[in-house]
Amino acid sequence: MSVDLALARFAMMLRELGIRVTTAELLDAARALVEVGVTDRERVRVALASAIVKDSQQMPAFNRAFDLFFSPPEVLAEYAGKHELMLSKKRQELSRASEELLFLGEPVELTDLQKSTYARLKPEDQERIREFLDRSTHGKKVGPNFRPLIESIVQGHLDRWRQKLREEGIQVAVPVPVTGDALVDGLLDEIAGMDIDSSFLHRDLGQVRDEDLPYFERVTRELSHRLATRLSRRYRMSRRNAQVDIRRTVRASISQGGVPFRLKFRARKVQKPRLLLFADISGSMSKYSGFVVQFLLGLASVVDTIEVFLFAEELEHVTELLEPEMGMRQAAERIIEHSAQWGKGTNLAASLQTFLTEHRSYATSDTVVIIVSDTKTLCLDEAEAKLALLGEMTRDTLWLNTLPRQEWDRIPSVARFSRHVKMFECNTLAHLERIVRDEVLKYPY
Amino acid sequence: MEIAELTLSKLREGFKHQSYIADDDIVVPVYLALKLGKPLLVEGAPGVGKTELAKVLSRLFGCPLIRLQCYEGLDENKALYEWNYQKQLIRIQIVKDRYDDTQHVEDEIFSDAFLLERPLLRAIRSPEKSVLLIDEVDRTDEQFEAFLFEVLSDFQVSIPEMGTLVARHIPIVVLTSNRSRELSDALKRRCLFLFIDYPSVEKETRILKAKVPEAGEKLAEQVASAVHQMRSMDNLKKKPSIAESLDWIRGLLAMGASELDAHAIRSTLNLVVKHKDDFSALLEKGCLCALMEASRRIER
Repeated sequence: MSVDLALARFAMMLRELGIRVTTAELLDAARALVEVGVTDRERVRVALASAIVKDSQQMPAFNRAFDLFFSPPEVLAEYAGKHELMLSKKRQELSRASEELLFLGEPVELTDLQKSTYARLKPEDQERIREFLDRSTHGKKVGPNFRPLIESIVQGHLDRWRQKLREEGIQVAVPVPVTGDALVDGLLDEIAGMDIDSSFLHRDLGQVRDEDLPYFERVTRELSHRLATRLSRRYRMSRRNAQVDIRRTVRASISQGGVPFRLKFRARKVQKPRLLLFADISGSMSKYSGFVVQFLLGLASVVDTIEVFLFAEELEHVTELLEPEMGMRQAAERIIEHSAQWGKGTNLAASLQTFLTEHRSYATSDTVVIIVSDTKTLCLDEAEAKLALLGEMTRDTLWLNTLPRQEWDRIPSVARFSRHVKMFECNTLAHLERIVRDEVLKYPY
Repeated sequence: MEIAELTLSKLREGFKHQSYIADDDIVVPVYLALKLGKPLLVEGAPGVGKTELAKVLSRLFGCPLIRLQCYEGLDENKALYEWNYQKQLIRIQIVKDRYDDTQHVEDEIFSDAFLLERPLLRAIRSPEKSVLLIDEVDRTDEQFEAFLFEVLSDFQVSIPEMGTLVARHIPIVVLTSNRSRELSDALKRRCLFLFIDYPSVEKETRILKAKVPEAGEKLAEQVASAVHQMRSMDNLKKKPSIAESLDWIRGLLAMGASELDAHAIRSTLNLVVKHKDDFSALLEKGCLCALMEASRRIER
């Protein structure tokens, strides 16, 4: 393989791993190799990294890709072979799902993702779906007009299973050749099997293990602190975007015979945002809410006020229990100790009703409401109405939805609430930081 | 030293001569930036030697260091040039009765004598090659960043009253960032990238020995290990930087300590730890023991 071709394939592989490689950077990489030569492997690694990788968080992915790509030819051939084998196995799985899931002797209409989910299920769970189809096929007066209903039941069942598998940390993916280049795809398969995402920013917060919690707490604190520091600078007066204050300039020029030697600038009026946080602490939501609460408390210096409410079946006002410097574990302990709602089911309607009755004064026209929840709640109609009312009373309502965006279509409450709020996918620290930076603190206030 | 004659080994030697301890992970990107004539974007935690790198390059090539310290609100007037408004007004007052022709006055007040050169223009008009350090570029806003990469692409600027000024010598450009925000892809694409991480114990020992030769080998190793141990602690709010390790070892020497013991740590810890909570956390018995253990591990 020539150096140029190798570089182009390596770039293709990096792009699939989320590292942006432009043609200009690829040319820089080629020129860098001319300068340092290709005999010293480590030197080649550093040279390519400096020309291509522009984000230190992408270094682990780059290093893995480099180690694999620049392996001996026989190892590379082995990866390509393994990939072909895996593809054929996956194809078999899909066709087996089509053969096994029949209604009235014809395959049930399923997406590849649903078929893959079926393949991941335990044999007894697969058996249950087949039994259901078998019973439906042989039921009395069952005809082809039943097909849409039966298919919809099986599809819904498999979608729920996929969600459950995801909560257990098992990702179901559709096997597709990514680049069509067997070697690159083979290497991508190898990388997919490794835990290269050392960047904790992109990890699902619901999956954080207890032993990783201190690290996540520190990252959350750092992100929050970084944002707060940056914003506090913005609040200082700057000549950029400021206007000359004619009145003060003329007044100051009197001592210089009316010549305006020193220009005076009008300071921007600074108004910090007021936040109202509603964090869902029912069941699996508590971990996500914990991170959001900690993150927002870290912004205490750059916001006017933050009022924190926790909700599950009912609403609780917990602002006074929390302190900005408190770690997540400490905050969680204090909340568990005082809260009757921890881990219960969700009733947003009842919670918002309590807010509107007892704490209405917190909702003002300059308040930004932030809701952290997966949108799953009882009394959907009532919750939607209350949400609309809250939206009318406040400046903006942001919904941080912890469900992955691809799941939103199958949850009716997402579409219903989206009519009244700005909804964002938020299940990683990277999501959280971006939303707070771009949406919560974007106003010049 | 001339860039045309530069080799990797010469650059490595040059760094060593300047007491800047660097392995290939730093030397190669710097070498490539110099050879390819591209700006070098250096990222890393505060105090790991990003700014020092530009200073070392300036000394190494015997050229002036021009520094642009970035901050939020920095604009073209502060970075590129500004007309000396007060001086212009005074000049107008002085000559207003002398000339009938206003064009003459205008030509005079928009000349070099009334131009306040800011770092970017100074680097462009420098009569000799210079090192342009754009420090903490992540503190500026997006508009300034866009302006910056236009300047860095062509190394020429247009001043309406004076025309286009083209760089006489393309400067060596070093940009540093603490990652307080994501820089734009356009800026990153124009630069070679260097990430400086906290050094290993062995490398930090070499740095301490090079910068503070009067400290013995043993003390340098002990300090490097103890600092490494501190950086590995998740509950610290601010990790100590290399600059703070240097302060610490100098402080220990000033206190007459020849090795790291519990008393020496207690009395000088404020040189390396800058947060009240970190200070209390490290003085806890368990942590102090861990530091001592880390520093003793070297001796075994």
